[in-house]
Amino acid sequence: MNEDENFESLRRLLSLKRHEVPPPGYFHNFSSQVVNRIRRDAQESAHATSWLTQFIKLFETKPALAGAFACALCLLLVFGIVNAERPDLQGSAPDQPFASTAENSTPIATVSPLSLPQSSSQPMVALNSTNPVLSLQPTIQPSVNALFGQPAPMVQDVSFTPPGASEQ
Amino acid sequence: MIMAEPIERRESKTPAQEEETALVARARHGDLGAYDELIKRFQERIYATIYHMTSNHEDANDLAQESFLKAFQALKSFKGGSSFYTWLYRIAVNKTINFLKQRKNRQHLSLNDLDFNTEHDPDLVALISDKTPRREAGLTELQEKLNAALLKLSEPHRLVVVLHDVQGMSHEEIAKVMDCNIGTVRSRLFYARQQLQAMLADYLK
Repeated sequence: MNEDENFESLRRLLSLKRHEVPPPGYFHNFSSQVVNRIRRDAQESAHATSWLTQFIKLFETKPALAGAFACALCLLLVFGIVNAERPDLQGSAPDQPFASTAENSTPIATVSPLSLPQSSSQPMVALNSTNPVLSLQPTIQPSVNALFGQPAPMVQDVSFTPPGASEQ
Repeated sequence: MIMAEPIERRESKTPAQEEETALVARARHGDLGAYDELIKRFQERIYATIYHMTSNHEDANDLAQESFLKAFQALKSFKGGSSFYTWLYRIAVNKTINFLKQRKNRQHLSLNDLDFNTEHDPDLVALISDKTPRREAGLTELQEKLNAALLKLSEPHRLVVVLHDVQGMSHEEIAKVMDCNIGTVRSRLFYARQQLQAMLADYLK
């Protein structure tokens, strides 16, 4: 065939590949190495199975142990949920009418009436503040005297009460 | 991975084939002695195919062992529709191609030595005769250039050259191993030879 003639030189060169041989004695142990690996893999998988089987059998023979294990897991789950929700519970005001909406809106922080003088007719006001905890929206324009008539204490009690609610 | 088996014509089996069938049946039931015998029958050809594809002895050793391991694990899926040899070959070839694709840009040669018959091979003697322009090129250099050129081929093209021109398999056998039709085998072989001729032009005139 013309095709084979064209590639005759290449075919001769490729015959060089047939003379490449592995190191002497390479195949003497090859099959035994493979068989040993098969045996080793089988032993490892059998060991893993027996450990798992024994663990499961432990619960079959002692149902009380299984129940206790399940209860412990449930308690752990409940404990985790309760701990996760605790910071949220401290910040909420369940008796206030705005409590449900306050969860989704920016919380409004107010200054305790004990620290700042306010007239009884004046409702609680919200302070403009750069503190991210405090609200940026004043609902009622504060009286200048109320804000600056008396220096604010260093430490102030902060409570989240909606505007319009009187704490007096 | 379930190895789909090509359907072969049922022909009367030779004693060697019947013996092989019996060994496979025993190995399927966990007889490691039977599987050891099967390994010994095919280890050289499987290793050679993988080595010619990778041009790296260490990789060929690892892949050959893993191919036999995988074949043993998959023996239950071997239904006897094809010869065990073809089925085993396909496992080794697929494993090698997957390995080469993962290591695409990090191939390095680790060539086996040439046996003592190389210098007396009439094909090679003709190739490095006085008429060859690069006659001073030794066999070692030829070996390196040839393997480097093979590594530049894509895996499917390299495979057809290895199976046909190096290992002497027929187009039909190659089609079963590669799970393609004979026309694809021929076209890949033609293209691969063209590429090799271009890359090795200095050593082929």
